[in-house]
Amino acid sequence: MIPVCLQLLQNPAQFIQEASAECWTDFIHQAREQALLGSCYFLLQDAGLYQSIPDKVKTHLYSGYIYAQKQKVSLIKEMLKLEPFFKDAPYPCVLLKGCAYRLTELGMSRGRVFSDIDILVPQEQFPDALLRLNEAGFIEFGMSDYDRRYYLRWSHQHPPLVHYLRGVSIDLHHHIYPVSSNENILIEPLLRQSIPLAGSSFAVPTKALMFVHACVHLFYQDETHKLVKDLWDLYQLFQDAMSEGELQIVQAATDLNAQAAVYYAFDVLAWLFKIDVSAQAIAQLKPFANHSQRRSMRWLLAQLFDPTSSWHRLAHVWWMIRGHLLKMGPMTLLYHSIAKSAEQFRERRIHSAQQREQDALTKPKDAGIQ
Amino acid sequence: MTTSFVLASAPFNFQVNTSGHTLFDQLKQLYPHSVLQTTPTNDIIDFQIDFKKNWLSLSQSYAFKLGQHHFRMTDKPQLLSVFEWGLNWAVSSYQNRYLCIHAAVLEKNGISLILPAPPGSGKSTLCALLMLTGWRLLSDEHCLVDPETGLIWPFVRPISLKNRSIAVLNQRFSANIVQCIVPDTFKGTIGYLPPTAESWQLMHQPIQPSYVIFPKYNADITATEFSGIEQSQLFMQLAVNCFNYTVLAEVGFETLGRLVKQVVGIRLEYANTDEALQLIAELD
Repeated sequence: MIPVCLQLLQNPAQFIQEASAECWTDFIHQAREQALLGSCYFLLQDAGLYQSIPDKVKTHLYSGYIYAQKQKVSLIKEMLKLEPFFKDAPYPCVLLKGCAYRLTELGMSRGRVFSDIDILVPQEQFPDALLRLNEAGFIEFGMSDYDRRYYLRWSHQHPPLVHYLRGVSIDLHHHIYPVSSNENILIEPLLRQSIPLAGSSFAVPTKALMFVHACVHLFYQDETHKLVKDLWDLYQLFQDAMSEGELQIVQAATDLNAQAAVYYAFDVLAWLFKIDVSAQAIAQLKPFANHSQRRSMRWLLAQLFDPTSSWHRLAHVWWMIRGHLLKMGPMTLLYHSIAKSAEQFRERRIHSAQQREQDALTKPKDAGIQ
Repeated sequence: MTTSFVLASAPFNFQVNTSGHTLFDQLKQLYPHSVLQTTPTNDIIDFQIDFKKNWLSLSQSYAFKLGQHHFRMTDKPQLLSVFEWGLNWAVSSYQNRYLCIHAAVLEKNGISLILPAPPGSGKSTLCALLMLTGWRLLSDEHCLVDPETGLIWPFVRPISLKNRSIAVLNQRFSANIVQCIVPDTFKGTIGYLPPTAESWQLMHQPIQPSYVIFPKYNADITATEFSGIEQSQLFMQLAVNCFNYTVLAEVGFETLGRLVKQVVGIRLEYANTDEALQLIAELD
């Protein structure tokens, strides 16, 4: 069973023709959960279908559109504030994901929302970039010692940096995938091939590399809560990347050593959005994909989509374990699982005690009917 | 056991799933049958809310959630107040179809009042008094301005009264006029005044804005202040009372600009409630 939100993305005209009130209710709920309201607004406007949908649905799509427009303006203002701090940086500062899509003015960025600004710099220049962000007012906020160690030792980024006044969050990356992984995703080609933004200190990846990064993000990770949004991103990035040619995508996958992720993406997009990829491209990527997962990826996603499936919960657990294993390898995962559980237990006790103290302070006496 | 119901409180429909009957039984005292529905609706639902106990948790706390978006945990005695706050949170956070001003809205004989005010200024008490003296309630919390038409749409819900206000209302009218008293919330004691029958009957009918009154109850003053506010000042004071003015950006600016040109702004500071009500009654 395909989620109704994905059904609309696959074939909006047919969905609108057939949707009942119950379908629209589910659609609003799912699109809000997946942060796709603004994207759906533009999809239907572009297709000339916006006026055919019920007013109640328009209310929420329009709300998503308004929010995304506000975020667009905020992002541009934020980037203008960052510019002077990176003006003389003698290394590539590459914007990733939502921020890059927006500043490259990709069609898919219209209506799309994202939670933070992602910046990638070479690992050797990581301390310098961190210092520049600190000078710009971005600092670390409350994080446990364990989590901080986890970020610095195993992940591909610094703990999130938040502007002390504006609350904007920046993820400073030195890689696009955790360094604890055995997958050996290469980062140097992404830095080297990045395209400087005109008049800016920042750069963006090529369209093919944006697509490959999104493939790695989706198929080498453990999260499922934005699955439909991730797949819709992937489909649209694929279309943008194909404008530069299929060969470029295969080459980008090879450059980053991420052929398996791109193979899974081609396979799943062919299933869900009927994309057309040449047999030659598939043949080049296929040997790198895991034999059993080549067969099971569609089935696994189908179970993740369908909450009524008896395999649904198991599929979630499997996806989570698979993602963690890819990111960490078995021994690190074992250590992390034990250490993180102990940390959470300790934190919960501290948090409960703090909450009780705070409740006692903030609960006023009955000042009403005496 | 889960109780499911729909709160068809125009312009938004809420589907609610909650553990047990407690919340539903309390809401029955505040909402009419036409709004609080137990049968599945044929209309589209705007917000699907879970307000249930976590069966894995040892505590008996309920969690108010809109999908995966968590609002607040609460214990059973405060279910109602957290539910009402939760509905406010959902609308304030997730709708940008209307410019949403934190204000009460009332209407009588084609004259409409917008009462924006910070907490503690006596806005809800004045709103309740006006409703009980013949004004139709559109909302106690959300003034929903349509950017396309400039009209204000009703979002009729019970009036939430706090602490001393409950005693004021009970003394003026009848001892039990304020219902479902919830003590010991983080705002103190909360009680709810159900909207009048007329308010419910006209819950789908928008109004043209006429007056914006900034009320402030001040027991220490001797003379009531009832003075006009300049348009520029009115604009700024309304803007800071909006939930989504900055999110709406240009649309918010245009909408608020049009509203300010349509209305008369008034500052009302009073110690004598009857005098304040009389001054408002004389507006035309």
